[in-house]
Amino acid sequence: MSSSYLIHDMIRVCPQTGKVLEDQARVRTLPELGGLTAELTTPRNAYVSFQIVVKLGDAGVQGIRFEAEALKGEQGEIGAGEFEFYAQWYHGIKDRYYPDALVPLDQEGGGPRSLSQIAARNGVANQAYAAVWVDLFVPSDAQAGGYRGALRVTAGGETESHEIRLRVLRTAVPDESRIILDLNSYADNISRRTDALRDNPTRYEDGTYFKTEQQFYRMAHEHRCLLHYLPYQHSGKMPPTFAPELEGKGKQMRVKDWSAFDEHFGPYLDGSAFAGTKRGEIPIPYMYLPFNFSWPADYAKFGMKGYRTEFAAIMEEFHRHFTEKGWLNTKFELFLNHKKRYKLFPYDGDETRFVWDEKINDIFYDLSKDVLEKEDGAQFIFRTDASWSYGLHFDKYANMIKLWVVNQQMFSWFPESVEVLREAGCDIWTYGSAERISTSLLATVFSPLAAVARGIDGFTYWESTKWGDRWYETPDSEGSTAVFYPGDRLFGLQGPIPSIRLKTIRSAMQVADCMAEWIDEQPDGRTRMGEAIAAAFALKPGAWWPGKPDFLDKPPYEWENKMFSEAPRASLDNSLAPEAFNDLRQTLWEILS
Amino acid sequence: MKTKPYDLMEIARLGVLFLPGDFLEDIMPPERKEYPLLVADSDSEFALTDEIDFVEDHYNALKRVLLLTERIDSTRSPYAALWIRRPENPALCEVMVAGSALPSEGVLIQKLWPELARAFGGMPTRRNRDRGQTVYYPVRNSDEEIVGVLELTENIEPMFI
Repeated sequence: MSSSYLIHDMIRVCPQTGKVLEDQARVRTLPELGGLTAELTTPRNAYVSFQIVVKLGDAGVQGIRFEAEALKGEQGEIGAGEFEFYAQWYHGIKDRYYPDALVPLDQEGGGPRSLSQIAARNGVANQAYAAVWVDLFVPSDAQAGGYRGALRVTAGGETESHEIRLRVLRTAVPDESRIILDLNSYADNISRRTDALRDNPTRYEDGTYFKTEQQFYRMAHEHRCLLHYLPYQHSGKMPPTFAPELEGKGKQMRVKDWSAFDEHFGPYLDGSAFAGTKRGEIPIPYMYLPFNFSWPADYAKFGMKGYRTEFAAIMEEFHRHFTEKGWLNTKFELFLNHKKRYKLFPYDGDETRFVWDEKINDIFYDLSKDVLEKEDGAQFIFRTDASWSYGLHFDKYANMIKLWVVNQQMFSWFPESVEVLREAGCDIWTYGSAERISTSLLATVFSPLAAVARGIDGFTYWESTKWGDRWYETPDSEGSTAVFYPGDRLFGLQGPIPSIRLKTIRSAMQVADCMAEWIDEQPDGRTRMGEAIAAAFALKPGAWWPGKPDFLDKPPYEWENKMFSEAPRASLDNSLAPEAFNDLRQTLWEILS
Repeated sequence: MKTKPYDLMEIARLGVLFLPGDFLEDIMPPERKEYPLLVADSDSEFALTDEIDFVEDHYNALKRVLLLTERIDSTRSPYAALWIRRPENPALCEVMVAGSALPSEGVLIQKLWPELARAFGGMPTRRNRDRGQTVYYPVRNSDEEIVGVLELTENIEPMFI
């Protein structure tokens, strides 16, 4: 009989040695770990995750099965159907195997998603351990209290039973996220990076694209994230259906047909795309507009009155249409992503470095202000992504730009900006990348919690779907540009499969959302939550705001990239044990219970 | 009446008539013209291209002509771009202004290839490519010096970015 172990969700295990891959972990052997995960604590309306690691016997992964029974408590039960099992897929990184992709496990028969088939495809050399990720959803109507049940692992004809003790708190994670964890990407990378879509030239007309794209949005939604899909390339061009078809020019320009655009985006904006998810049919909170330097207005007219005529008329038409459709719960962003490095335009609309490019803010605000300043109907806002010039711009443009997405390092240099932007009614996110797969999982929980501690609204991963052609071996940029993987080529799924890091993001978001809700209800809430986070992560006072670099007296176009490596940065101590997040969760649940 | 489509080379010839070569010569401010030298000790692509800046009036005038050149024949749909030789190293070239799309060769500094080099030498040059075609046409300044090359390409996938 193989030996199986239930372990917590903040570490990963080597499939060859059974050792914990997080070098900083406090407990690093499976027998010790297995004894620690007997009791789980969770709020309601939340996922609680753990892992099963199986030491393989002579039969390898053949015939291994997992079976959960309903968890029973004095007030009721949590059904066995609330358990979900995922096989862990191993990637080769730095001469080690790390699990990251998670394949929904089909335990029946020998199909493409049985553990044995997945392991055979994965082809880990000298594999001695297999691991399964388990999500258990605790519904919002579950009664607080203790529950017990068992999870059985069958291998080699023998069965091991693991007792699960679950403590459900009275508190519940809100359906709507209070913090935005924004998974950015660029249209239409999903098609470019998914075999079935790439090879289908009618994907936008025959509905297959919409179905696949919705699976990405749904997966993001279910993990308390927002997929944020910029519709246009740097040239301004868009794939079909990412903007409505226009007709006419100049004063005759108008939307010819909304139908394809509405079919594409309507389900996200009325929430129906999320039917059947645990969070329910919540409209997406933010969405990029297709407006850019060369759409809808003809850039050949830039600087002439006809450019304004075309731009302003179509924006007005958008606002009217969105309002009539009742899309009132989403903030629609005018965002100008163009960068002069691509030689398509002479201005940086994104991350302004040369201060004279700030005129773009003034020009496009002026073109759009009739809609941006409307107090009724759909909410249209001006967004900027700021880095070099943030310190020069936050005060100057606080009344025009209402969504600020700021380089996380540079944001930390300007604590005074928070109050200025807050007073002007702005939303503030920071941006960075997803963590590399070989980085401790603890680093992944940092960004949502940093948002809570600093009193801002969210965090952006600048890219989330660039998994790379050989992701199943080693993902591009070691996973820092993807939190999903495509399910079609290997597993026959028309949509994404999640990653362990995406699961970790959700765990952090559940904590962050509970914290944010509690902060709103408590006069000293942010201070107390900030202290809890600081204590868990051993942060020194002032760590969130590490001071200003000495080159701020120079204009940003005189800064050099190499200066940033030595400039102040709010970061996590790399020697910290991943269990620090478990400590924080425990502290929070005690506060909330 | 059905009219014969313009040859791509003829469209390029017409476009070049309206392209102010002096603006292409001075499309970057003086302190940025040799921008690679500003970050000579960095091998980061982003550090290099962070140094790019344009004289907006010059850029916009050229961009407008490129966009309009692409429309000379409504039965064709080429995309246009302007190439220069790098002033600090004339063996290298770089696209400086793109019309509606980027050349498939991309935006980074690269070695001249024979057809482009021929156009920089004064010879309008045609390049047949799989199912598509590119023409290169010299662009001159007001002193009649060649300061760049107009590219028109059809039926070749532009750079995706």
